[in-house]
Amino acid sequence: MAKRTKSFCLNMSLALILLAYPLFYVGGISPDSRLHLLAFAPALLACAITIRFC
Amino acid sequence: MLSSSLVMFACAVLPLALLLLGLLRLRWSAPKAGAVAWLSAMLVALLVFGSNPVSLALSNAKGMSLTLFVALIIWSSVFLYNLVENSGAVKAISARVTSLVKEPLLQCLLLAWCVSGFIQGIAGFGVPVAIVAPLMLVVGFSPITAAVATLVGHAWSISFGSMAASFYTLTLVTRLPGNEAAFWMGAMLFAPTLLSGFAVAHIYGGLDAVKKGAPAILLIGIAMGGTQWLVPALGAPQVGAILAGLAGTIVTVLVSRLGLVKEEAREQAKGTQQTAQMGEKLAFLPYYVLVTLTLFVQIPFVKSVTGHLKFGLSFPQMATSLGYVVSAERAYAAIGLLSHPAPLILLSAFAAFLAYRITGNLRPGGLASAAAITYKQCVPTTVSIASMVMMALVMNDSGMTSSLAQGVASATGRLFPLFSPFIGVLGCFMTGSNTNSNVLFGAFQVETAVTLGISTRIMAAVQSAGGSLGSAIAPAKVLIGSTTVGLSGKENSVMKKAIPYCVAIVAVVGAIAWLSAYVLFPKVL
Repeated sequence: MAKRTKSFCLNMSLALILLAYPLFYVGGISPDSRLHLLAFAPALLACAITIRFC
Repeated sequence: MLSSSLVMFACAVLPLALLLLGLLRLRWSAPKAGAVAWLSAMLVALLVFGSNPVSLALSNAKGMSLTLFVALIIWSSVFLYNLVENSGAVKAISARVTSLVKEPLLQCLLLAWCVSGFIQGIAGFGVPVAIVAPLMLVVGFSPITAAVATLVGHAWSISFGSMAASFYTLTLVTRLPGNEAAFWMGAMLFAPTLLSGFAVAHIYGGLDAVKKGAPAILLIGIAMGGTQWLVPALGAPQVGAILAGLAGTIVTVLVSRLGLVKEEAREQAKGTQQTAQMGEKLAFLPYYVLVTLTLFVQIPFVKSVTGHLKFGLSFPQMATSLGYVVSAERAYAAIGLLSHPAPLILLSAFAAFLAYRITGNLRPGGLASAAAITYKQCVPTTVSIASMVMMALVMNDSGMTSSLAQGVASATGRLFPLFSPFIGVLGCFMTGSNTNSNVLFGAFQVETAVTLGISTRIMAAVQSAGGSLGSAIAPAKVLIGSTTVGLSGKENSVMKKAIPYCVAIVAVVGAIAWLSAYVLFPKVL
């Protein structure tokens, strides 16, 4: 895989993880069950990108 | 009941097994191995250990808090190193170290074993690895030697390092009397201190280096191990590692002056062959500033004035459907303005930037170039740390880690002391911290000791010794070591090389623990 693609994907993963941090916290302390699931979206996307491309 | 415990134990092992298999066998990159292990930990927590999305989200948020804490240290120390490198100060630093101790084996022991222990005494939190590993590179050691020797070499000093944070935590969670706990912890760390010196020599030059350096290692090791035993036992655990590292440094220089180790020529790194342009005081300036600032913030008045300047999220209590309860946390992994290493490292970098710029040693654009290199080096490390730390927190908060430890205890019976330090290693492996390992397993080890009718003091000390030695292979620390010497992406090689040393030393601690508990001191409480 091209080095640039890998580098781009790592940057994307990091950005998604940074986005996931507040979402996990808010999702965890919120009583709204939709937020619980929403909190996992960016982190799972980061996980998928990392496993597939890094 | 037994089979259900066995299934739970096997499921709890799965994320760790996947992580190690991916890193060591399948040669996945650290980010990929971490992501797979994290995903598997979440699935096991949900499907087997009765977690729910809310508690999983909170565990992951805790993991991110811890990631932020560790990543800030890595980013700041890598940036400081790149700035120092861009200014040309590395040549002067190398020249000074090689003039102080000329023999390469002694240089390796001095930096990876003694100086790293001294820095651990002051700062901890991965700082010794982040500072010493690149310094070793500068002096002329290969990246893999620099990373592995520092990881293995500093592990003896962690329980009494960081102003004895791990020791105090252990006494808090076990409610053991401080002086007795300090005595036994110093005793249990004596052999690992010596053995880590031999391990550093072996990492540097194999059995030949071990034979050649044996007399020096014995002298230095006895000085360090003895100091770390005596000082805490006399009531000053907070300076146990600092004084031990200092004693080791002094003895190493004396050993070098006395010519106890035969001098041999070594191929120096490119940078060290050239004449250093910069004065040594200027070159060492950021490190002088860092040590001064670190000591300054330990002053009680400064601590009390700046203590409240910190950021950390608070977490509510949570429980799994199987009844595993995790207590609420206030200001979890709080990042203090002056108590966290990153602001101090960045202040040192700023002082270095000013000094190097004013004296014309740093070219225009040198700062931006250092920042750009740092960014490139640290992104993969940060992604890896985030996934591995989140995996660890999911495992801790769902009861998987506890299930692992209980499985080991029930399977081993009277042989438990042999395996007890490995539980400390497990805690450190999962969290990257001796302190956290003691929080996780300190009380458990003491309870198991009571059940088996053996000494609680000895088993508490063994727990902390295991947690301390586990730092050599904890992914968070391995990532720091690898990144700071330019081995980002090759963490598996570093971990693979460090594991045998760690396992061997911990096995010796286990044997000493068994002998102490059942043969030598069966009457100690």
